[in-house]
Amino acid sequence: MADTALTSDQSLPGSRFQAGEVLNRIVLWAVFLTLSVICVYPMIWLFLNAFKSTNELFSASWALPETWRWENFSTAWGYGISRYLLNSVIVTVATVAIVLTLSSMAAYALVVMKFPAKVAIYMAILGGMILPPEVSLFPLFKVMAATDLYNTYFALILPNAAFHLPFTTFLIRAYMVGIPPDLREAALVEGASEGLIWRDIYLPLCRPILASAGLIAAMGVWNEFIFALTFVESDSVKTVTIGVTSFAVALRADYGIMMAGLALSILPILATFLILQRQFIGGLTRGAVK
Amino acid sequence: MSYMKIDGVRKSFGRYEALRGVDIDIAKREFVVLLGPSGCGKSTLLRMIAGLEEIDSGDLIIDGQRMNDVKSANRGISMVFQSYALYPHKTVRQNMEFGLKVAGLKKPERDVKIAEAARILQLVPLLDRLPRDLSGGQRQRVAIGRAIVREPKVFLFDEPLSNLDAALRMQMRVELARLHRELRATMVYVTHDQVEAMTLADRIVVMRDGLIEQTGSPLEIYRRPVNAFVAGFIGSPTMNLLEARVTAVSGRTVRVDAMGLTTEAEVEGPPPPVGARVTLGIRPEHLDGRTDAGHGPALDIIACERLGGVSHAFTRLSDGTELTVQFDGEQSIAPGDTITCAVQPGRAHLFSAETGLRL
Repeated sequence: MADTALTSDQSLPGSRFQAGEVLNRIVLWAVFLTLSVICVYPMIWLFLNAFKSTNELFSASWALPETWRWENFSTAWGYGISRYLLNSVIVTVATVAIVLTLSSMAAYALVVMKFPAKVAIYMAILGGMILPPEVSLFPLFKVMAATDLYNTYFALILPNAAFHLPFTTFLIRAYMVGIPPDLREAALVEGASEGLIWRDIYLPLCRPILASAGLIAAMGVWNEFIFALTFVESDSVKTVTIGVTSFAVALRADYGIMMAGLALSILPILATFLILQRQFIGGLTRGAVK
Repeated sequence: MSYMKIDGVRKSFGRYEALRGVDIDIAKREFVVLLGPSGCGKSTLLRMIAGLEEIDSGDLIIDGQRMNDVKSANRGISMVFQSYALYPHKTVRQNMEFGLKVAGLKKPERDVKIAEAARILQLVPLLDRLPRDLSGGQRQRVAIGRAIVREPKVFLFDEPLSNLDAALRMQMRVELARLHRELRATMVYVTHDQVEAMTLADRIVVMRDGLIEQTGSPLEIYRRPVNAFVAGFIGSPTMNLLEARVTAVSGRTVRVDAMGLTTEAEVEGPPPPVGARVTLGIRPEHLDGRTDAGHGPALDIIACERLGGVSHAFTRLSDGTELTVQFDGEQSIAPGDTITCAVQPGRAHLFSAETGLRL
C-alpha cells in the first residue's frame, strides 16, 4: 500500500509536466495555424479563382472551380504578362547579382581588413537601412533624367541594388565573422591575394547566407512598386508589379483571367522561395548566432 | 652560420609591448622551439616571421635577405596553424594544391608534389576526402602536407599539437621528428608544452614577457637553467624552489639549509656569504625519498600521482613549504604517510633570492 502511494506521488510531477507540455503544444499549434491561414489563404484563394469564370468567381469564390479553366492562364499570358515577367526576371537577377557581389566584398573588407574609420563606415552602411526609398524618389528621378537612365532597366536595377545593399551587407558580415581568421592567414601565407581569398575561400563558405540574402533581395526587388512606377513608363521595361496593374485595368470585366495573371506574376518568386527555403532559414539562423 | 636571424625585434599593440627586443640566430636545418607561458610573445614572434604581423623595429633576415617588408608569400615560409586552418570546402588534394596553384605551377608538377607529400605523410587514401571526414590527427597531417608541398625555406608551427588528445599528440611528436630528419628542413615551432620542446628541439628558446630568458639545447636548459623562472618552467613535475640559507662556503662550494634539508652546490660566480638568503632548486627526480625516519626532514604526503614507472609525492614540510618528490613506481606510498628525503649529491641549483639568477 505504501509502495503504491509512493508511486502515485512520484508520478504526479511528471503528469503535471506532461499536461503542461501538451497545453503548450496546443497553444503553439493554434498560433502557427492561425498565422499560416492568414498568410497562405489569400494565395490559395488567388490560385483557386484563377481557374474560374467571372460569374463563378462572384457566385462561389470559396468553392473549388466547377471546371478547371487552364485557358485563363494562356489568355493572361497572351495579354503581354510574359514581357513583364521577363523584365522582372532581368531586373531581379541583375540586382541580386550586384547586391551579393558588392555586399559580400564590403562584408569581407569589414571583417578581415584593417583600415581607418572602419566602424564609422560600417555604421554609415547600416544607416542606409533606415532610409525609406520614398524620400529619395525626387532626387533619384532628377538623377535618372539627367543621366538618361530614365525608362531603362538601370533605372530600376541601380536604386534597388542601393537600397538592398545595407541589409545584405549586415547579414553577410554577421556570417563572415564566424569564419576562422586562420583560413585567410593560411591563404595569405600561401600567396593568395585578398581578392582570391574572397572568391575562393570566403564566398564558398558563405553559400548559405548568400542564398538567404539573395532570396530576401530577390523578393524585395520582385515586389518593388514605387521605383517601377516612377522610373519607367514604357511597356518594354515595366516589371510585373506595374504590368499587372495595367493588365487589371484592361481586363476589368474578366476577373478569372486577371487572377490567372496575378498567379503567374507571383509564381517565379514563390518557386524560388520554395526551392531555397531550407538554405534560406539555415543561413539566417547561422548568421544570427555566429 | 645563421640561416635565419632575428635581430632586436620589437612589437607593440597599443601600449602593450609584446616583444621587447628579441635576438635569435637559427642555423640551416635546425629545429628551434619557442617555449614559454601564454602571453610571453612566442606566437607573436612566429606571426612576425610569417609576415602576418608587422615588425615595429629590428630585422628579420632569412637566407641573407631582409624580410621585414616582404609579403608572406615571398618569404619562403610555410606555416602550420593550431587550428589546422584547412579549407573546409576543399578536399585534401585541393587543400594541398591551393598554394601551388597560386604559385602558378602546372598541373603535372602539382600532382608530383602532392603525391610525394601524401606518400611521406601517409595521406594517399585520404586525398579525395573533405576535412570534416578526417580525424584530428589526419587533419594535422594534411595541414603539414600543405606546408610541405611548397618546399619552403623555413617551416613555422604554431602550437600544432595542442588540439590533439594525449596519445595522438605523442604519435604526432614522433611523426614531426621523423619529418624533420627526412626533410632536413629548418623549423621554428611554438609551444607552451615543455615535453614537446624537450623531445623535438635541437634548441629551445625560453621566453617570458616579450624577452628571451634562455637559449640552449634541451638538456643544457634542463641541467643548467640560467634563472629560477626557466628552472621552474622546464621539467615535469616542476623543479622545487625553496627558500634556503647559506651555512658554509668553501671555495665555490656552498652549503645551504632549507628547513632541515641540507645540500651542497657549486656556484659559478662569487659565492654568497654565510647567512645569505638564496633560492635552492631541486628537481623531484633528484630527491631521494624514503619511508624510514632519520634520512632528512620529515615530509607529510598530501597527494600522490602514480604514473606506473614512477610516482610523484606532493608533500609538505613542517613550515608549510611544499615539495614534490619522485619515487620508484614500485614504492608503496599514500597520502597521509610521512617520509624523509635527501638531495642527491651535485644535483642542487642555487639562485639569487633577489634577482632569481643562477649563482
